[in-house]
Amino acid sequence: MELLNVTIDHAGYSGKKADVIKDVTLSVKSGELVGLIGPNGAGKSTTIKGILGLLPVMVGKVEIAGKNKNCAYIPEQPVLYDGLTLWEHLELAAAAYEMDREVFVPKAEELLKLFRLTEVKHHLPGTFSKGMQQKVMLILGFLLEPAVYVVDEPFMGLDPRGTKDFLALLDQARAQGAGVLMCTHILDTAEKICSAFILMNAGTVLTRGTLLEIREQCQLPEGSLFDCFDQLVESTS
Amino acid sequence: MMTVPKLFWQRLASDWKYQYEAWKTAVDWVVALYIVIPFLGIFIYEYLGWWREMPSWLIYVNLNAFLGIVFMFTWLGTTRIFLEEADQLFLLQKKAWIHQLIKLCLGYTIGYNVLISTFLFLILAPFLLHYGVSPREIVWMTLFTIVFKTCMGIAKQFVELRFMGWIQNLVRTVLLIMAGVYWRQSVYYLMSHSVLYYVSLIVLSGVLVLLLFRRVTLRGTFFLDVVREKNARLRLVKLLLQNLGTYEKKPMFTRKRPLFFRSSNLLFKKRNPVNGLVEMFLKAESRDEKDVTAYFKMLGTSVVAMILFPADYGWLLWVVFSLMITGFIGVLWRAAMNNPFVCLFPWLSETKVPAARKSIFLMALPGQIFLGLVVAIRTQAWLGGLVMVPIAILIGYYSAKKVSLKS
Repeated sequence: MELLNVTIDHAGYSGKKADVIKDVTLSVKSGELVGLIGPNGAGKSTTIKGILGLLPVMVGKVEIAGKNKNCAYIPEQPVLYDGLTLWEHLELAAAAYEMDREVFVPKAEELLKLFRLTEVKHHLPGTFSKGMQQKVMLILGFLLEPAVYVVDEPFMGLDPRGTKDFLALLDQARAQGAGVLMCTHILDTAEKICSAFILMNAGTVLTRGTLLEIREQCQLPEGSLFDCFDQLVESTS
Repeated sequence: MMTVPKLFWQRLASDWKYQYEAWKTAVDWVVALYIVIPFLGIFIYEYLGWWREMPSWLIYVNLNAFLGIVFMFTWLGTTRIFLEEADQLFLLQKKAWIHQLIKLCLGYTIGYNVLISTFLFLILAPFLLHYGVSPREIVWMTLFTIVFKTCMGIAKQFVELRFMGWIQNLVRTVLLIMAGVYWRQSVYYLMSHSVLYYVSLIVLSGVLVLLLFRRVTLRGTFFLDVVREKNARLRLVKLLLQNLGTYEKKPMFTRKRPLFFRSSNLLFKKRNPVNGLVEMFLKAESRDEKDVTAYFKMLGTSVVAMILFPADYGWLLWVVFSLMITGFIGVLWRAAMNNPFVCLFPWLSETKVPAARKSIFLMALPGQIFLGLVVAIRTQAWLGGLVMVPIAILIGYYSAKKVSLKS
């Protein structure tokens, strides 16, 4: 079942940057973890902004299916409110999505415990390290149990244990039927965890498929994702 | 070929362009046509009027108030050193270039101080003449202000460069007090035609030369200079963004746990998006030292105005200040709703409007009731004081309703 279906004719910003990305089509199925990869300036972040409805120019459509018909965005840079405690961040998210208290409280407590943040739940996250702040963003994402997770560079600032917990939670969410679109530069990790890839360059999709399919396309049967990616970008530039 | 003077002018021009663009963003032609130009016109008209006749409010103000303004003017501001982070790649290796650039920046600061000090004294001249300060004394006072302001700018930099944390605040306070005493005494010598004024000016000029020399040769200040310069460059933008209600990332909190609602206590039992937003706003604002201070300053200024104006105006002023408080809370609300974290969630207008109304009403109400009690005491309308609370609630509710629709 396709949970996220994106068809963008062109999208971008007002003026001359109205078509930063062109002809981008992608989909994420239930249980799938799709890696969105590409060099700097390829249009990955613009594509994510387009999916989230944050672009001033967007000619195309984004369809989200699934039980909740919503998606959670976990940004690369933690975005937090200085004046609220960690718990109050979760309370605001729960209020925004009208979560039942009986569901919210145990779920939030469980996630805090998993990410080892229970002790600091009444602290102001402005004093947290970058990794702890990133964990707060992950907790917020997992709290809402959305149909689709859009994750931007999730490994930045996370310690190895945090990365492991994050990946375990992603697996758990996928097992429950969620889909994940993950934008990353860490190709060796992406190669290990993603079920499919979308390679972008110069504002458009170069290719998509599983690692096996991409290897065949590049005629590099033993090649790593990095090798395939490099060859595809070289051949189009 | 790039030379140091060329580099200096390039950076100065870039800064002016940046500040001009910032102004242009805030003051579009509508604002210019309806606010800035009429305001300037009224000010020039009023100013020309001051040369003919003193305004009636001057009876409440004495000369010391104007001298106080001048002293605060000498204390405010900074000495710009146009260094950038990228200079560590090339410029930092060339000591002679850095020294020459700092010299040019200091020269620019002196020129800038000459201009703005002269402008300030031109504005204040009609009042100073009214208090019997002669034109000659005004010229000497301007000269003293220029030297004093330049000294203060560099001295404050030395304090920032040499001391950290509470010691820095302590040293700054000591410097402020000492400077205040020196300023007061020098102006006293000038007004009493004492030769000691000239001695004071010569001593100050000597100190300035020493400070300038020391500033050029001071080592190990590059990164602090870059940070200060960045702040100075962004100062106007920050001010404009704050006034426009646009979110500005600020490292507000250094404490781990908040002072109020330490255990993230709930304010509303009923959980829904409206109450969630209201709770978020009330808690975050009650913890924001800067906004709480601004709220109390606003109340303080309103109380002073109510005391200064005749009692007959009390009720009218109360309504005006009550509406101003609502407007102020409205600006805070818009800033909160522009916070990137809050923007992560899809708030519907059916949620935002009632949440704005409730938040603005609840936060403005204590101030409105307090001002109501002040006006009741001032007019000795004790009966009025008793009915003040329900009236304040009604006015607060309706003004919050109006402001929330704009939010």
